[in-house]
Amino acid sequence: MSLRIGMKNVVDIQGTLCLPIRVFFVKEGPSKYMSHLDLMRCMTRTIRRAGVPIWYTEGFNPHPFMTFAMPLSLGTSGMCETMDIRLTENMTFSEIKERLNSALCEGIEVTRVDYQVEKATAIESAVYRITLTAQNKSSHELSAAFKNYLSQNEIIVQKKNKKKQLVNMDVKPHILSYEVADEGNETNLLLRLPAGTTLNVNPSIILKGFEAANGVAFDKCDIVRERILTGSGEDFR
Amino acid sequence: MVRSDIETFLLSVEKPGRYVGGEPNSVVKDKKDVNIRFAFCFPDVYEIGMSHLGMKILYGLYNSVPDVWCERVFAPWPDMEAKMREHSIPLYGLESGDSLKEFDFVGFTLQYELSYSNIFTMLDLSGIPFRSAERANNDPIVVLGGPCVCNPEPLADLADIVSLGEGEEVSIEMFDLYRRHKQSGHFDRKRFLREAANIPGLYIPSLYDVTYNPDGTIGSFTPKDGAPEKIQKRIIQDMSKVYYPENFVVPIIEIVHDRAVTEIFRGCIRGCRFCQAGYIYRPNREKDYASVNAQSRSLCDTTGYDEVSLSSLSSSDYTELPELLDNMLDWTEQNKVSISLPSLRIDGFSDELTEKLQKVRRGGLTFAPEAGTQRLRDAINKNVTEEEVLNTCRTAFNGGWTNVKLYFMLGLPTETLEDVEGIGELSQKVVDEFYRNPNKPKGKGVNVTSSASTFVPKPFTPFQWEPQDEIDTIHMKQQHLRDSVRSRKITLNWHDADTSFLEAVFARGDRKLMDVLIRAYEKGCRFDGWDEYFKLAVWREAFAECNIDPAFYANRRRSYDEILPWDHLDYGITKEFLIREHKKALAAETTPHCRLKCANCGASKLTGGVCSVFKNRNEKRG
Repeated sequence: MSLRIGMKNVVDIQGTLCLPIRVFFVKEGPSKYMSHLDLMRCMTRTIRRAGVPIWYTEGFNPHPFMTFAMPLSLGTSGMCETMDIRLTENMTFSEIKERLNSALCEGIEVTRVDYQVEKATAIESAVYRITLTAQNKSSHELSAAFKNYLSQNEIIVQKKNKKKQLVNMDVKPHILSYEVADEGNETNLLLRLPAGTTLNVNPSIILKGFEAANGVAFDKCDIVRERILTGSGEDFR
Repeated sequence: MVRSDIETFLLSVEKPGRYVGGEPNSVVKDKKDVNIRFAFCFPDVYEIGMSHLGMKILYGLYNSVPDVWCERVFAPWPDMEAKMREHSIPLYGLESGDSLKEFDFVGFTLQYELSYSNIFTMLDLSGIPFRSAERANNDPIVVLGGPCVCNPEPLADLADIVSLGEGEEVSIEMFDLYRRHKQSGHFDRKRFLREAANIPGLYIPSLYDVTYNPDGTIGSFTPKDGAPEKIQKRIIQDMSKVYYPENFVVPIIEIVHDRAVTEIFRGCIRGCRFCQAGYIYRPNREKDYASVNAQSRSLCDTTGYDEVSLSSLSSSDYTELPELLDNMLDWTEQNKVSISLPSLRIDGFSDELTEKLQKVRRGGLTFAPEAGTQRLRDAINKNVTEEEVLNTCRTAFNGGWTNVKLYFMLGLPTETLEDVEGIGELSQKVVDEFYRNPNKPKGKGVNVTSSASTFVPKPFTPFQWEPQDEIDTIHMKQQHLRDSVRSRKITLNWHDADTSFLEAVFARGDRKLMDVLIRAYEKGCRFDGWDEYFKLAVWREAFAECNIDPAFYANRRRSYDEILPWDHLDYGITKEFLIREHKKALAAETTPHCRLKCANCGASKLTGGVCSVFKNRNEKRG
């Protein structure tokens, strides 16, 4: 079915009627070892296999148009990832979800397809759930050490600057909130950190900082980005 | 599926996506429905192995048998190998995560000699003994296949079974035999192997005794237990009817050849005398264009790839190329799929062809004159003239190309320094051709990249008796080539002579080399095809410790009456034919290609006495 001017959110892009939509998905399991570049390649092929009609860029080397609000680090799982695409034909959101899910690889699953309500620039923070165990440390000791570490007035960690040099920074002002829970055999950490176009703090710099400061090495370090939030503290839509 | 025990360290290794599986179209079966588990091992890293077409075909075919489950296994990169050892993790199949030791078959494809050391890593990490003779009754059956098994002798002691030629039919026959033996309730490995020797195309090295002469050459090669004296390779008779996968596993990380691939033919009509593929895949058999077109389309649909490559040894020799391209363009343009046509011969390049290939996307242009002078091109039977090289480049320049790659070889038999200079001269003539072109693109210079690899004499070619140039000679020739190139429009590349030397040793090696392989593996040799890991000095130590002189294999001229290590294998072509071709090479005489005149190579016996080259033609005429 073709798109018409006047249908909700339909826009004219370089002479083609398009419906910009947002695909929400989970990225975990084997797919968390996919880099952002790999993810783009994977999604391109998934969309082609699924037969979802999307807009291609014009020009010498046309490629399917897609943008991702917040690239995920290699090895981190994501529960609320988004991919923006432009439909060139009308297709129900439930059919798109179904078609993509039957074509996707293990670990990626589309949870919802919707209109693009907010711009990616509205994103201001993200919530990470981190599950940890460490060599020669009980989860009780580890949790206690983490509480101490995060309650300091100043937390100096190392971060790579744009020239790829390691520089010291105080990450304390950027920790918007935190919770530490001792789960009996592992430590559960909930961190809300700045995310988005202006300031982005990767939880791994805090984890590395903790390892260095406490002389421990994590056995298990599972990072999940659970929520992406806008300035008002609501989930990004 | 990701093994949970690797996740603790997976982020500390390079490209963890290599080790997790779970790709679209990968096959996971329920173990209780499976009788035969096959680990298809490619002894190189994931990105290389996943690019290999043969693996994709056999993976699809094996998994199409309901009670067979085929999984993929690649060599772990040294960082991963170290981590696996540290955490006592065995090598595992990517689909199930199960150790190789739990499989019925562990099959290795031998694509190049420099991957041999990785086979030892993979067996070692699996806890499977290196030698066939040391394996227990219930250890996996180790099978070798691929082009290098036309001389499997350096690995003969490692293999339980060697599968010669094309694998589609023979592997199914092997599975049938295995299933019968396994279901009998008392599987006896030795009896199974003895019976496997009766399946045409399967070579069981343990059923042959080798003796050596005092000078190190082979004295006798004797079958025992009723094994056949000669083992003939298998081929597929009808390429249009043979199984072809409807989908490929689509990797989640980028691989070397990340695209759909279809085959247009096997074998080659040309008979370039240095080229092993041109002989061991004979006779030439084409797939009809309707099948290629349908398979290409199906693959693009199921993989989502936007590029399809038409694979063969020399694409412009495909008789139905115009029909194929016209039919494919009907859907590729609309679906934004580009077609790539690798292995284009210099004399097969036309305006019409380039126009069709350019409809979606333009790739680079690569041609292989192989030698710099006409005399040497005649000696190697390349059957390409300088005029054709220059005409083709003119066509390409007219079509707007400004980069041309030329492939050459150094160290070809009969080569003189004049021939080496010829490489520089021919490259210069191509540059001159660009500036002579009145339609040359404005404001753009030309870049001619000339690459010179080192010739490696290979079994089943007319040069199988020839010595390889010694490393010093190759270095001298490389220097001479550098000195003969003046223009900055020419970029010279050359291939490391050390790796070619080791390749030459194993290509024509015998069973005595197994000890060297084990020794080199123990000394840390891995990934010898990778510059960052290849260490000739360590290999030389391994040779010395085993009292073996590698020059005996690489740099010695062999006589026509010497028993060659691969003489018991029958690839269709006869020794008489190779001797005739060798003598013609020394006299710089050419042999016309198969369609012009049959050279009586012997391969027609594989297709029932009438060569498929002529069968094809008669069918099309009729």
